[in-house]
Amino acid sequence: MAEATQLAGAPSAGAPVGADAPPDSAQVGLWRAAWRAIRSSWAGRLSLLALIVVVGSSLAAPLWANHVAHTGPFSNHLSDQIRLHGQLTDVVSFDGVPIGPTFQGRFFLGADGNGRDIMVRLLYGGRNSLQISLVATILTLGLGTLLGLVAGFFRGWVDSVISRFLDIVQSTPIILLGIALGVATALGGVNLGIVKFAGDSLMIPALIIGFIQMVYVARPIRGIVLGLRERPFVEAARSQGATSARIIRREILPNLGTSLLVLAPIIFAQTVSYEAALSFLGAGVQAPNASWGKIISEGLDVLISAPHLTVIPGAVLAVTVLSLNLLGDVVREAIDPRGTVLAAQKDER
Amino acid sequence: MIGFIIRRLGSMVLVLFAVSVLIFVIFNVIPSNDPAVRMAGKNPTPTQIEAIRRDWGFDKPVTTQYVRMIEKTFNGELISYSNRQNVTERIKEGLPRTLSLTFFSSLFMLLGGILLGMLGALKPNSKSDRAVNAFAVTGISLPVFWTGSLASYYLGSKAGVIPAGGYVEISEGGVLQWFWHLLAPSIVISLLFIGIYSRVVRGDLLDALRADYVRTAEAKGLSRRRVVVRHALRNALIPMITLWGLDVAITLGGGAVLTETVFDLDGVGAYLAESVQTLDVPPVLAITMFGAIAVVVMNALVDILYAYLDPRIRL
Repeated sequence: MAEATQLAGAPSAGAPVGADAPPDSAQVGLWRAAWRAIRSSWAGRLSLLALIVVVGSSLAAPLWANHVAHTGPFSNHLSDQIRLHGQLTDVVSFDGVPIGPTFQGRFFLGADGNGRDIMVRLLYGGRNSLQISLVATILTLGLGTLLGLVAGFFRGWVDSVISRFLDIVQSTPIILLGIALGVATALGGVNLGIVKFAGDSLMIPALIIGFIQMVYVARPIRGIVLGLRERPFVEAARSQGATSARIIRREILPNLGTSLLVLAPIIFAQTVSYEAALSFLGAGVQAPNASWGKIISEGLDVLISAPHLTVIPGAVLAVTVLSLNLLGDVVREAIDPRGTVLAAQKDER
Repeated sequence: MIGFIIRRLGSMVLVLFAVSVLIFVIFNVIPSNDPAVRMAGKNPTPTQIEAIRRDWGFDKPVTTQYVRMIEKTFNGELISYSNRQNVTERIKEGLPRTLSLTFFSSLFMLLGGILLGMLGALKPNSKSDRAVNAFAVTGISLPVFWTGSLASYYLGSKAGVIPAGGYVEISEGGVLQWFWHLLAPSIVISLLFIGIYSRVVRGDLLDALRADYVRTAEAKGLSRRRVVVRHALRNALIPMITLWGLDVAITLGGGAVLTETVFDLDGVGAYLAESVQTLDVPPVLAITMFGAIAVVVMNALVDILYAYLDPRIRL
C-alpha cells in the first residue's frame, strides 16, 4: 500500500542507515526508548507492576502450593474439614456450597465445587494461560513476519498466493475458526509430522491461537516491507550485488523492529483474551488442566453460592489484558508516534 | 458498474469455495484420530461409527469426502450424533434471536464509536479525549463473558434492574420487552467494538480535519458543525464502516458466542457454545460454514456499495 512509503520515521538504531542519520530520538535504541516511555508514565509503571505481580505469582505457583497451601491444583478435598476460627468447617457443605475465602494458608480464596483450592488453581491456571499465550504470541509474530516478509519482498505470484491464503483464513470469523480447530483437535490431538500433541496438551491451544492471529501481523508487515524495499538503502545494497537473502537479513529485518515491538504487546493481550474465551467455551485448555477462562466457566456453575469463583479469576484476567494493552499504548506512542504500524494494519484489514 | 459487480461476485464464489476447503481440512485432515470416531461424539457404539464412516464417505477418496461434506451441510439433513437433533433446524430457530441481537448491538457500536471518536478528535489531548481513550482501552480489555455474566447476575438476578437473560419474542411480549431483554447483551458486545471504533474514528477524523478540503470549507465561511459533520466526518467514517460491516457479519454468523451464552439468548452462537461442550462436530462444522458465508457475502456487499459511492474503485 502507498501508506507504507510514509515510513520516514521508522529506521531504528542498529539499522544500516544509522551511521549517517541525524541524531534523534530513534538513536537511543528501540528498547531503551520503550523503557523510558514506560518509566515516565504512570500508566506504564502501573501496568508493568501489575504484570510483574501476575507473572511472578504464576511462576511461584508450586511454592505456594507446596509450602503455604500444602495441596495441589488437582487435589479434591470434597469431604474434608478444616479448622477455621477454631471451628471445624466443611470444605464443601452438604448442599454443595464450597467454602469462601479463609485468608489462611489453605483455601486462601476458598474452594471450588470439587473442593479444590481456588488460590492454588488460580496460580496454576495463570501459569497455563501465560505459558500458552507466550508460545502463541511468539508463533503469531514469527509466522506473521515470515509470511508478510516473503509476500512484501518478493511480490508477484508469491505475494498473490500468500495474500489470498490470508484472505481465506480471515474469511472465517476468528473466534469460530478457533472453536472449530479446538473441537477438531480436542479428542484426537494434532499430528504435525515431526511432532505430535495429545488432545489435552497445552500446546494445542497455543498452536491454534498462534495460527488464527497470524493475519494481524502478516498484513501490516507486508505493507511495511513493500515500502522498505523501495528505499534507497535497499537499492544501494542491491546495486552492490547483495543477494535477496542478505538484503532481507541485513537491511529489511533490522527495520522491522519498531513494528514488531509495537505489535507484540497488543498481540499478547489479544492472545490472552482468546485463550480465555476458548477455554471458557471448552475449546481451549482441556480438563483437568486449569486456565483463567476454564476457572471462570467452572465458577459460573456456582455463581449464586460462590460468586468469588467467577469474580476473582475474571479480575486477574481483566487486569492482565488491560495492563498489556496500556503497555502497548505507551510503547507505541514512544516509538511509533505517527501510528504507522497500526495504520498499515488497518489498511490491510 | 455491472462489470465490477460480476467480477466481485465471481471472486466471492471462489473465496467461498476456498473457505469450504479450509473447513474441510480443519475437520477431516488435521485431527490425527479417526474422523468418524470424533464425529460420533462421546461414548458411541461401533455400529454408529461404522454408519457414520459410510455415510460421510470416510472410507472413500478425499474428494468424495469433501463433496459429501458439502452435500450434507447444505441439503438440510445434517444431524447431530450426540442428541439426534437436525442441525439446520436448530440454526434456523436461533437465527431470529441472533439477528435481533445483531440489530441492536450493531446500532450501539456504530453510534457509540462515532460519538466517542468525535469527542476525542475535536479536542485532542484534552480531558475528554483522555477519558475516551481510557474508556476505549478498558472496553477492549474486559473479557465479555466475565462482564456479561457479572452484569446478568448482579444487575439482573440480584438487583432486578435488568432481565437476567433470556429472549422474548415480539409476538409474545411486545416490542418493548423484546428490546428490554436485548439491551444488556447488546451493550456488553458493543463495549469492545466502541473501544476499537472510537480510536479508528478519532485518528481518521484528526487526519480529515487537517485536509485541504476542510480548510476550503472553513474558508467559505461554513459553520464549524457543518464543516465537521458534512465534510470531515463523512470522509473519516469510511474505514470504520468497513470494519463495522465485517463485525456485523461476524455477530450475525454466530460470532457472539460468549455473549449469547452468558445471557441465555439461545441464538446461533449459544447453539455453537452448547455443541462445543459435548464436542459435537456437525453443528460446529455447520455454524463455522455459516459464519464464513456471512462474512464473505458481507465483504462483497460492502465492496459493491463502495464502488457505487466511489467510482475510482471500479477501475
